[in-house]
Amino acid sequence: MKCPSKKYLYLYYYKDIDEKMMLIMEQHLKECLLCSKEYAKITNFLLGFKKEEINIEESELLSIVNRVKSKAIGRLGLKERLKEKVKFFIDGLKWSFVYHPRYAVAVIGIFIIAIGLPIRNKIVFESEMAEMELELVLDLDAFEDDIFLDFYNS
Amino acid sequence: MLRQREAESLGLIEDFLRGNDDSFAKIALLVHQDVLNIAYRYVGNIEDSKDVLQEVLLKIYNKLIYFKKESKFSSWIYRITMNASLDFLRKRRRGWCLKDRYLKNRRTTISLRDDIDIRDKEIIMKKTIEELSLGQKNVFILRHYKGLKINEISKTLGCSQSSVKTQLKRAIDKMRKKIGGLL
Repeated sequence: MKCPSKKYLYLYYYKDIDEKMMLIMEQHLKECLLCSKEYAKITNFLLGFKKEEINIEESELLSIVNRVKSKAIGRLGLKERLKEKVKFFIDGLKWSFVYHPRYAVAVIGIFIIAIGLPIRNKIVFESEMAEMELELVLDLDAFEDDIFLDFYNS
Repeated sequence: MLRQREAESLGLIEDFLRGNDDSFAKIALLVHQDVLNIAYRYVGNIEDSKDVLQEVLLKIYNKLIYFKKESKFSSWIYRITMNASLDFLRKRRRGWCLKDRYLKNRRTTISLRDDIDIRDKEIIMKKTIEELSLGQKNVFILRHYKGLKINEISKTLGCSQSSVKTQLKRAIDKMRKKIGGLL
């Protein structure tokens, strides 16, 4: 097997790769002297960054919490919280148009329908009106012919 | 650890948002250790970490109303902590102690034959992390010190997993090159 990139050695050290890759790496490190030496150096290096945890007394934490409460704006009442939620929703909606094009496409579609529908209705109405006018004219002609014939016959 | 107590934290958040102020102290108790330890990796000392902790708790108190439950509470806390730590570093100039200045004037690559004591090594390693780029530092701290998986880091930082892996590789390569044969 070709030697993997160093990235996989680091991920192998942290055991942050899938099982299949893990087995491949284990096998490769048994077979490849270069990679196993490199891995030993990496292990030695990273172990040098000690993960000591720091902590504070609970009493000290509570005094920090009390300082925070005194500094804080103050708890919002229900009305203010609702206002904040609505504002947050509207702000979120604005960003949705940037990050989710489907909303922008939907709005454009609604806009096209809102503008296009009246125009289409107008065109249809006008053509129907034109047809009706034509029918009226033809009916009038027929009516005039009937009168003329009646007059002629009489 | 905060990651393992997500369900408990969500219950406390709901309680707090309903108006129970005592829940905030419980939330603080839940998050303080993670916040302190992440801040410590950025600012380098315990006192400054406590200042960052106070800032983070203040932000949580005021901004918990905006927390979206689609993301994990732990990811939200880590993001706030990293931003607060970086703001802290920007606002205050960290004065170098005399020993740090002495070390700065030495050769950057220190030979194994030099007599380096433990304290020097710690300072050098801290300095090496400080010199990483922002992305590399964030990824290294979350991966090495907090033990987050690559996919968790990518969700916390809002970038792709391949970007996280690349940043991690670059961070470790850079530190190995800088420290040389010291470790």
